[in-house]
Amino acid sequence: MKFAVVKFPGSNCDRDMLNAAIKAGGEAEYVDYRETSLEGYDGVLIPGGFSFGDYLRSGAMASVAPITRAIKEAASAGRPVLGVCNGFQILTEIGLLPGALIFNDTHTFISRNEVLTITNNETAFTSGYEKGESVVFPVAHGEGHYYCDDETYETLAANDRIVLTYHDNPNGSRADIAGIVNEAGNVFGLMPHPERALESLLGSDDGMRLFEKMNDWEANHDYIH
Amino acid sequence: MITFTEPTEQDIRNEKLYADMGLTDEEYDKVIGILGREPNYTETGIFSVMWSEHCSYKHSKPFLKQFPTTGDRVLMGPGEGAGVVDIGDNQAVVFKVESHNHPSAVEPYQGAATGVGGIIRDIVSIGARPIGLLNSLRFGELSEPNNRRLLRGVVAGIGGYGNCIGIPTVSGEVEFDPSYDGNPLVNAMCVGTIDHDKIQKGTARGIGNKVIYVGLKTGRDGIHGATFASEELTDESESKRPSVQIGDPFTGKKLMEATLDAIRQPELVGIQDMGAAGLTSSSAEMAAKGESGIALHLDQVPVREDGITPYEMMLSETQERMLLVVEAGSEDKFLDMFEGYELDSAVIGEVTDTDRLELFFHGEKYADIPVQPLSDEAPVYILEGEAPAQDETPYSYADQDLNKVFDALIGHPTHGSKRYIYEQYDNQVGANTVQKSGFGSGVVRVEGTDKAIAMAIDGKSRYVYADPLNGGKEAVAQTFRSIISTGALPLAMTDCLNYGSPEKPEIYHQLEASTRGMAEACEMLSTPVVSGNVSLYNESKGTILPTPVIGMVGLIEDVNFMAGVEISAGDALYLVGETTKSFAGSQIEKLIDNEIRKQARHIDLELEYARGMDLRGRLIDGEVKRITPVGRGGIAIKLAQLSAFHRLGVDVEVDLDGEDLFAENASRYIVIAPAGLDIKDGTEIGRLTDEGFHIGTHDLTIDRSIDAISNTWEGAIPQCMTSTD
Amino acid sequence: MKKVELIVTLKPQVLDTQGEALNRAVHELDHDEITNIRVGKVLYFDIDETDDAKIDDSVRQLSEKLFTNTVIETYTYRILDEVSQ
Repeated sequence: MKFAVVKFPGSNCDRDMLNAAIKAGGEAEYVDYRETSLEGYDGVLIPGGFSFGDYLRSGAMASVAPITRAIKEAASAGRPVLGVCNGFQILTEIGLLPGALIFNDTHTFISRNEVLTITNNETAFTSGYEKGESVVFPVAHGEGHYYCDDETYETLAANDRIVLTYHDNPNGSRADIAGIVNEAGNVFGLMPHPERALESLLGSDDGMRLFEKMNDWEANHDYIH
Repeated sequence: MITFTEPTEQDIRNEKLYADMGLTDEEYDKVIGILGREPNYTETGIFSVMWSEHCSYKHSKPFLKQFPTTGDRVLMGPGEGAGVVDIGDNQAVVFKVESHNHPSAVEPYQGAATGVGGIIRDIVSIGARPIGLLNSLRFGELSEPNNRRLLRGVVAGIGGYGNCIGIPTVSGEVEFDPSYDGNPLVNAMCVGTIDHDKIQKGTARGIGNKVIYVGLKTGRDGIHGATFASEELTDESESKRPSVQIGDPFTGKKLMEATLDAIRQPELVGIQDMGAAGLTSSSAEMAAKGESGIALHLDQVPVREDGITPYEMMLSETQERMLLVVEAGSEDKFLDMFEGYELDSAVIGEVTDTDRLELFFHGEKYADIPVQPLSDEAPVYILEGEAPAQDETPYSYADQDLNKVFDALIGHPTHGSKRYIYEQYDNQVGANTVQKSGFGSGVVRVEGTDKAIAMAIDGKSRYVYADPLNGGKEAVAQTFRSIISTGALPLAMTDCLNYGSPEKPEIYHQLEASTRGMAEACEMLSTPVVSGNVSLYNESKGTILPTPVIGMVGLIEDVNFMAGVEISAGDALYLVGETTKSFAGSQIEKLIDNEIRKQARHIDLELEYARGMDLRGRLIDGEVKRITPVGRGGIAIKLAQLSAFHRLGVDVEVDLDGEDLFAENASRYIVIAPAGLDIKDGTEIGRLTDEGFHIGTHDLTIDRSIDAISNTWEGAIPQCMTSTD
Repeated sequence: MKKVELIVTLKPQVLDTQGEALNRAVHELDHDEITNIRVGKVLYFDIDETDDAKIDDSVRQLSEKLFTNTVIETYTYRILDEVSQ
């Protein structure tokens, strides 16, 4: 699998994301936000950071960048699209995932290792985990409170699209939501950072299986509804 | 032609306008001597910032000269943007600490944020990629609403900048003491790595080479910031609020990437951050180091608003700007590159053979100053210090309710968990953070290798106040211990000297004696000083405690030894080092006596070094699991912190008096290891357990539940911060 | 050329944590008469257009595409004075 790591001005987890994809056995290259095509890439990784300084609203300006259309095309073609942290915020801003990420309830930035539950392991992203398994990924965000209206929440819950939840909700997210997938199951957005959880030396290697499964997308695609 | 209404040479002389800018009568006369005429308004401004304490070190130069600055591994010492130290394999570590105290007192968020931005640009201007940030903070007690406001703002500002630019903040330290009321200290340190052949210098050479400006457009922010930083804070400082600079980490991030790109270009001659005193100090210092002249055409400088005068342009401290000198003919290549990063840039001048700093605005000359005297002939003041009387009254706390002392100390913000602070900092971005804030130094792996850099920052102002000479030694030694505790070999250090007004004899004595002590410790511990910063005139309601802050880095050759070490119940606890009734500058003294006795402290640097190296070896070999220095609050507080952090009990008996648990002797460690080891100068004092916290002494026992210890420790800062004001 | 003031606020149903904190702080200052603080943001911009209908069109389009996130935010705007060129 060859992944595009989309780089916006202000992205700062781009290198970590590239390294993660490569470490899992894939290929990965940076793609500038001014590009208009993602032709030739089998998957798209949208890294964390502060695209456009998070000015106005996190992910707002990235959502109207030239590359956006290509990300949407990749998503509708069924290719895997992963958005982490600011990447998740961007995915909601461009409408590939429902809801929005608003300020943490504490109104402070929160950076710590978080225990999470894999609530759905029947996605092509999470098939390497047990259902109900606890994993540790770091979180590092100021706007990570997942907000959605009742109708959206019921749809997400009814269709098993809530993939990841917090044990000890750090930000006030609705129903402890840490990550969700789109209806087709090929777009995954999450606030915690699996790309920072690849080695036990650094505190956790629980993120590795996510990237390994993404790199094995074809064999895994049965999971896509 | 555009003309500005500015005071004339005669106005400046007659109305002593130079004094408002911070120049003394003698300094003004010296300027006239250098120029051979009276300076105009722009020139007076330039001299005043270049000769401010912040830029010229006019009161501290003689002290800084004592520091050892060379060593086998030192590639570049003080004088450049940051120090550079070899870590093998053609790689080096680049680091520096800098203060942003005064701006943070006036506007805590922006003051702290721009402090972080500034120190990052110092590292980047050497050509290094930053891998870690640290900070050392001092505030008055959190019972005061204003100190809570300052803490909140400073922490949010440090996080706001560092998180956005994407450099992990991996360690720090903070102390709360009434002497910092209204005069908080915000010292930020940045550590980067670089390949030897990429090391840049801030120099302007080669007649005809071009001077390029890149970064944020210049506004009127922070004019006379460097002078401001060299004055005492008064109520008037509040009205100087507009002079505070605004940080823009988004532009800072683009500028960092663009600079690291520029450094790879062979046509780059020199580069320097436009920090304190902005365009003035960067251009003058680059010209001085290149032994050249510089001509600047200020009408070419990108500006944010109309009508900015040459004076304002030269003194503006607008953030996120760099000044480059590039080979003539290559300027378009650089301008195009910066365009790609969506940064403003312009050619604003050239290197000349005049040895003068010449400023033009629409063809008219606004300044003409010989570079060398401007940069190098700042006055140096050697004053008389006066050692205060000693107080040899012996200490006794045996009659105190020491159980109450124990609870008060672990529940005090200085000793409690700093989670409230460090969880607001992204400490893992970059995915190389092996050890982050929480308990001990930061450890960051060097990308793509098994090597890691340990980084620590510390300051022990109460000891320095009690005994400036030995306190100075202890400040260095304490940071050395922090580095040793990671298993790293201490390499070199940087320092930030935060003191009150040097014009007061007792403060001058503090500076003189403590720097002498620091220099001796650097020599004995093989940690030369490669960069540093001085912040004097830290006086608001009173004078701050003398606070030399030490930043140190160490090298871990193979970081993998740190994997899989688990601290668990059953592990034995050892106390290494001698405990006596050493209470001068201690925390129990602060609590009970509410003052510091000027009494001798003791440290044996030879022993310090030998003990450190011995323990470090045992840690790397896996013989011991963890070593941690005993610091503020003594053995009792260190054991409580260990218990709370690991959520384990301790069962300890020591052959000491109860009060000795709170003594603060130097050179001590608690070691966690299997039982039965023979550690030089060490005593096995007990075990980690699953149940309860117990310390027994000759005349005192402390018994608590693990929960009680943890809750008090965790709640120390949050319980202060929950008040909304 | 006209100047536009665009005010963006969180929708009433979205928790405004900043507003909540301010409410508490204001009450600690003994100003119980003040309640329901909501924090928003305001954008000012010049628009090279004089026709109100066309201004409305531009402002609405951009507000829904970029200036606000309609999942959580709502906006109002008003046209201020003429801007001299």
